[in-house]
Amino acid sequence: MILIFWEYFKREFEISISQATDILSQIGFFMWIMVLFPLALGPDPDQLKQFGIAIIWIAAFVSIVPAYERLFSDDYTHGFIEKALHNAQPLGCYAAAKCFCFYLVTTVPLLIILPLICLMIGINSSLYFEIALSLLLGMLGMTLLGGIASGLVLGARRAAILGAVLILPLSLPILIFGTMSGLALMESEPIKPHLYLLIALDLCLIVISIPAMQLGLKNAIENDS
Amino acid sequence: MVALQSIEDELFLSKVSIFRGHKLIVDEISFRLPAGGICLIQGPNGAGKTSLLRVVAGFLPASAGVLSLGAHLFNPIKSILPIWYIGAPFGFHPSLTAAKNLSQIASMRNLSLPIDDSFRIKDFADQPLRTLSSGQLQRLALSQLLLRKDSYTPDLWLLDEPNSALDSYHCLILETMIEEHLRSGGRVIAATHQPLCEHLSPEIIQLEARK
Repeated sequence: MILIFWEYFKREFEISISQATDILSQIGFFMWIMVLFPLALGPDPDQLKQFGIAIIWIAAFVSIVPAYERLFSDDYTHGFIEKALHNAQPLGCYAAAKCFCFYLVTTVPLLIILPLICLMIGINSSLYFEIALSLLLGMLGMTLLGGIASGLVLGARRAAILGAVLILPLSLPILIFGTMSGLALMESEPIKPHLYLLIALDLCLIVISIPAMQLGLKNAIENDS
Repeated sequence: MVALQSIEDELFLSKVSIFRGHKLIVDEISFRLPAGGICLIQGPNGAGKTSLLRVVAGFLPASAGVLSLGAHLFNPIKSILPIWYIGAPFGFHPSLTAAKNLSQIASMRNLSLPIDDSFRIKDFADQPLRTLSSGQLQRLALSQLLLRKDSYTPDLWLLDEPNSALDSYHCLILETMIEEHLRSGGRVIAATHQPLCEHLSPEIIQLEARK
């Protein structure tokens, strides 16, 4: 099981590298949302600091949500999911490897430019690691939600926007605990309780999402043939 | 005492019907496929050849009817009988090279790359897949059947139009390959418009177009 997970992961990673522009444009999108907010809110540093964390989270969500549609759609149109169905391991293994790789290649670049973003909106750089940690936990949950939605809408018309409409309401708990951890950070309160809640959410989603994605993919194949 | 399912047992499709929406596409088709047997599904466009193959592959549940292997129900997804479904789209990723795509499939199914390059994959091994012609793509897809494993198992090959884009030389290679596969106890079900392995006198399933 672990071996084939690793094989799927390697395949995904190679494909992601060959399509690096997708990741770059998504990061560019994130950057631009972050640039637009200070321009619209005005340059008052106190105000920016107050809204900064919330803006980072919303920008991260908004920039990533349209990308979930391509999570399974390429493999679906190219017939790879059918191929994976005949491999020895269940489809959930494929879906999990796919989500994990997607999570890494989208979140790591986000964390790389995060210091720059912190500088831009005037958040103290000593808080970087805590913010990065909460984002890392939050985006894992988001990717799993994205996987469920992407599996569900696979093969549907206008799947990207339909997926986004499905994901965003479900992402509220992640957004709330994520931004609360940031606000606690700003006011020098302990952030651990919020991080633990994020971890709990992630663990629940790991359990739910893998069978859910497996069902979604199987259903898509049946409707296709 | 329940008899164990054996890989050598006869594959039996009993009165399989397929509906798409409210439309009946395949009506009560039955056939038997013993180990070493070949079966051709023929019929005009839209007669349900691919649908029938996809039912055997387990992609599509049959609306009615039973698939069995020996005395047991046949579940293609969890079967002891390894299945290769070769039909467009072939499951390759267009931005990777041909060689990379093939080696990924091999490592995913724990197989090793073939020694003999019957379909001459080397000619285009380093090209990204999107630059290949449909014939080359088909050759690459068929060369998955040549991937080797440590111990031999008589796989079930489901071929959807396997020779539609091949030149006459590679058609011949395909026929030799199928012949060898059957001789060692494998099975083949192919949906095709063109003649395939006529000298082996395959069982022919004729599907009718429905209005």
